[in-house]
Amino acid sequence: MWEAKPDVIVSIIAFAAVYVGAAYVAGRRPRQRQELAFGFAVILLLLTLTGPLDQAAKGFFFAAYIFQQMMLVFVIPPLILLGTPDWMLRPILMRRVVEPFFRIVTRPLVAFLLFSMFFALLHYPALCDRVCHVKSFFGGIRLGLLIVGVLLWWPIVSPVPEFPRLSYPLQILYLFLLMIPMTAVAAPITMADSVLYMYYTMGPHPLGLTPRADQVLGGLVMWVGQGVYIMFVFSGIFFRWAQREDTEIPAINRRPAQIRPLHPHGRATV
Amino acid sequence: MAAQPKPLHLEQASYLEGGGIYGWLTTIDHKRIAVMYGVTALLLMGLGGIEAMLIRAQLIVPDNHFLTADFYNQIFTMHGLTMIFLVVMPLETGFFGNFLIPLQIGARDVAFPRVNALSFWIFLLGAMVLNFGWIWGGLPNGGWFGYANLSEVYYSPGLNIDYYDVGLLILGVSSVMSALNFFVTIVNMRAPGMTFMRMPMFIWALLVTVILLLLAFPALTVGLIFLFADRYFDTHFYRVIAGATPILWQHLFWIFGHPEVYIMALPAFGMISEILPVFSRKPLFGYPMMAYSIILIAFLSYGVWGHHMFATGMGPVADSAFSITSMLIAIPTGVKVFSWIATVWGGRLRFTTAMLFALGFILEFTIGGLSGVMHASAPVDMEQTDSYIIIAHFHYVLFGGVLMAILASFYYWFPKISGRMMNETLGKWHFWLTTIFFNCTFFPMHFLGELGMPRRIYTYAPGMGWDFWNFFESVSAFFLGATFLIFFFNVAYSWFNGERASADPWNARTLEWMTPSPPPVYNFVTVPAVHSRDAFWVEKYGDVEASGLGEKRLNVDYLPPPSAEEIAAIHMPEPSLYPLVMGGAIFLAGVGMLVGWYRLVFGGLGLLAFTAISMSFEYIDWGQDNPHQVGESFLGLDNRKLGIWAFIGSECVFFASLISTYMVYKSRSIGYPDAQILNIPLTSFSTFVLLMSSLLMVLALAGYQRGDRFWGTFWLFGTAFFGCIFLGGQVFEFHDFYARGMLYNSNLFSQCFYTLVGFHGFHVFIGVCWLITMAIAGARGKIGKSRALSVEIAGLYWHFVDIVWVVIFTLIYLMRTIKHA
Repeated sequence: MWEAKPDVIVSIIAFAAVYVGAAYVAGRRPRQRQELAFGFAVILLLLTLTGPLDQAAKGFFFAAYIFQQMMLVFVIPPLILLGTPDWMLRPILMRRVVEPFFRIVTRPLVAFLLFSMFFALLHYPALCDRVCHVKSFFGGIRLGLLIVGVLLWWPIVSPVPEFPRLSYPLQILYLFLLMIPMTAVAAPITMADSVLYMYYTMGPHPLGLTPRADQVLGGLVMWVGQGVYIMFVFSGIFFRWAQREDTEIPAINRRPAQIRPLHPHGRATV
Repeated sequence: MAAQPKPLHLEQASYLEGGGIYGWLTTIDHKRIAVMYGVTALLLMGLGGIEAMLIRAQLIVPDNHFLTADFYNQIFTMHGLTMIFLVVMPLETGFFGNFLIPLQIGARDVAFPRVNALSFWIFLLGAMVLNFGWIWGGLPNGGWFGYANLSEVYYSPGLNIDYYDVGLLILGVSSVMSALNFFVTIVNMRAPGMTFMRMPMFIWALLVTVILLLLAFPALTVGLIFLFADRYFDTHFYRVIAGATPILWQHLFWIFGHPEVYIMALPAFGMISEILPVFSRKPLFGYPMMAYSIILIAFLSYGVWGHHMFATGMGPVADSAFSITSMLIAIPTGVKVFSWIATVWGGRLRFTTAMLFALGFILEFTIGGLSGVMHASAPVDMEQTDSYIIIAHFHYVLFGGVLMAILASFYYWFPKISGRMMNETLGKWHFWLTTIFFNCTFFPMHFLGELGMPRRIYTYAPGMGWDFWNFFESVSAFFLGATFLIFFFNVAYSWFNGERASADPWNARTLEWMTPSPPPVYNFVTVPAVHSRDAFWVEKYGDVEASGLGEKRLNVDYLPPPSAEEIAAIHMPEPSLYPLVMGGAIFLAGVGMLVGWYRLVFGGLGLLAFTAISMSFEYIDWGQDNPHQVGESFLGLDNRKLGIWAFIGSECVFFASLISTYMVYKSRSIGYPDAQILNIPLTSFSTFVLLMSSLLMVLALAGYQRGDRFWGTFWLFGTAFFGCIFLGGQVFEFHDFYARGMLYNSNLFSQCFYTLVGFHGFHVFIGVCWLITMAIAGARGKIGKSRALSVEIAGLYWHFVDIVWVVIFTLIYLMRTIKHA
């Protein structure tokens, strides 16, 4: 069931218009891959924030709510980042006021912590019950998720070399470590033997799920769904890494290639 | 220290020579430490084997009363604990890992040689604590998983579970320390040109293994701390009566326990991936896929712990999800099996004993893996859990898989380690007999499981249809035990009388075979530069794909010994007595915990602190070949800095486990006190002070970095002072709570709160001690500009502790004001 939500739709269209406008002002066209990624991100935003998924997420369907969050945090931000060319962001990011601030928040550790804290707090049962289902907070929460999502993904798919990506092995480690906060949030929700969020005890549940089964499903979407998704991302990173190391000698050893004879006793080979 | 350790003599031909007993006790050479791990683990393997024989002797006929029920429990528990923690892990990481990591990556030693020695001594003492029961009675008897609440004092009043608890805590310290050490070594100390994608597969496997260890062990540590509190301070972490759930133990245990399975399996995969190419004379098939599947297995291993808990009633949704993720593990594992087969395929094989064991590994491990996929299905597992089919499964994986790989590695690397070949004739007898009797012993357990024989029963009634297979298995097991006598004999005999080994007896592919057998103390005279995978092979034959039949361009056996100048250019760290003393201090503290004599605990910890501080001032002369420079690190981070980062990663899991437990238990807590007792204004003040201290830390570091001794020291003292204020606030807070009747064991809230905040306070305390020591050293002018890095490392720790506090303050203090709507 599609509900008319002019504010959300207008915001998303405005977001897309900024992208098109920036390209127009700069007089350049993003690469086709970037346009595709961005377009895909906009479509996913529309599908996530309006329509049946959003309806379900705002209703008494916990798993749908979690799924919406996963989309906002794990799927849409990397698409947005992949879809935005560096020349579009540079005029904003390189401003004197923005640059130092942005440099701090895109540092991997800071981005990781900001995301983890926001995400953990959002699922704190008492807090969630007070905040997550209040109409005036809806937009803020979803925007917040999107922002911490963009920060989280910045070290992996940063479009601007001035705020660089991590090296491939560190990207893998970064994703690996993401399991700690995600598990710390998702496991207690999945394994809880009572309903944690009072809100979901109040209404009729879709699909004939009990509130607790719904909560388990939501926890698993967060835990396993996210895990499997990250695994695919990691696979992509790994194979790019392997391929790159195969084709070129990387700067991994910063010491200039001082070629010594490979020899146990350090003399020239006989 | 009374006696000074003797200096090293670098001109010695072999690391095994010289130094006498004292030289071994004070050694920090990774090869000697490896040998000590190996000898200890082999002795314990004998012990674990005897335990296995006792189990089979008890089960040979129905209604047997050879062992009492209680002693049987102790024996099967000890068999599991010994084989997992005292045999497989130390053999893989402690023995082969220690010996091979520096040699395979072209380094002189590990990153932190003294910490390496310390790990060994702690391991030895932990092993002793686990085995105390042999002397004083009452071995651990709760299974290797020690399920709560059977481990509570009500049900296990003796010291059995305490040996388990304290022993594993000590072993955890040892494992995490060596994991940290190996992580830094592998990341930072690879020879120039050895990129990640050129590392031998064994190094890949160990790299991922140590990351798993770092991130998995803290969960178990938390579980063990709760267990200790329950047993000694009468708390209720696993007691249903206070609203707690014993399932918490299962979660904490299996968060560790499932990665633990791969901590044991991955090094075995690595070993096999080294041995098969050498004896097939072909490069490893699908190198990137092999590395990829190792990492993928590690990823998956954290998301599947639920599959050990199907029987706890998680509900159909959760069961299905864990079934699927568990089955997914078969994909990367299958990739590995097929890659091994493809490595062997079309090769010119040499059937040495090592190769036979490696091939045996593929077969037996695949059988074990297949029954694993079977159990991954929740409904099937409900039938099979706690039956002998599970025993069949994990013995195929751990014995047929991991132990076969270890045996293969023994035959393969023994020449490098001892300088002598193992006897191949005995080896082949060993292989065939072991394989036959292994299958005779464990394959019928599949049938017994299907016939419904449960695990962990000490005897069974006749006429259940189990008699024949049990008899058959027991007889086979005795023969299997006997085949290990061949192995032990072979090792001991070959060590002294084996045929002398050349430097490269197998015509192998990796760097360790470039060194003489046994290698000299310093491993490599000059650190080799690496240009490709299988670097040594390429050097010999010019091409990775070379057949190995042509003429060698390099024959390492016919090289003149290094000259005096070359030797003089090598600096190795001197032996040190500190690791042994520190290990002894931890041992004293552990024994004190066991017998509840807290003076001994404090004495041990005091000695530990003293030695830790004096050790940090012990000067290590790495000379020109400073390991921080050998093979320039890819992160550009100093070893110690990378080490502290790895430590912080490990600590994150520790605190995440504590915080999650608090979150879960807070809502289950019954009665007074509850979170409303928390004093927010006071804590806000302490939080502010702690945050300010982080700021001062930054100033102190900046001071030292620009060589400003006065202000550096000043701000360092300031940081420590603010830390003290924070601690004072905490003491006041705890005192206040205590006065208001909030005891440690009042209820779930109080015990979780005190444990979490107390451990954080303990970290602050350690940090304050560290800062004060450093500030005193700074005041005495010992921290120049060049050593500002030490301050930076202390700073990293301090900032981490602060960040943890910010999390605690937000989630525990601030959130208390929010009530359910």
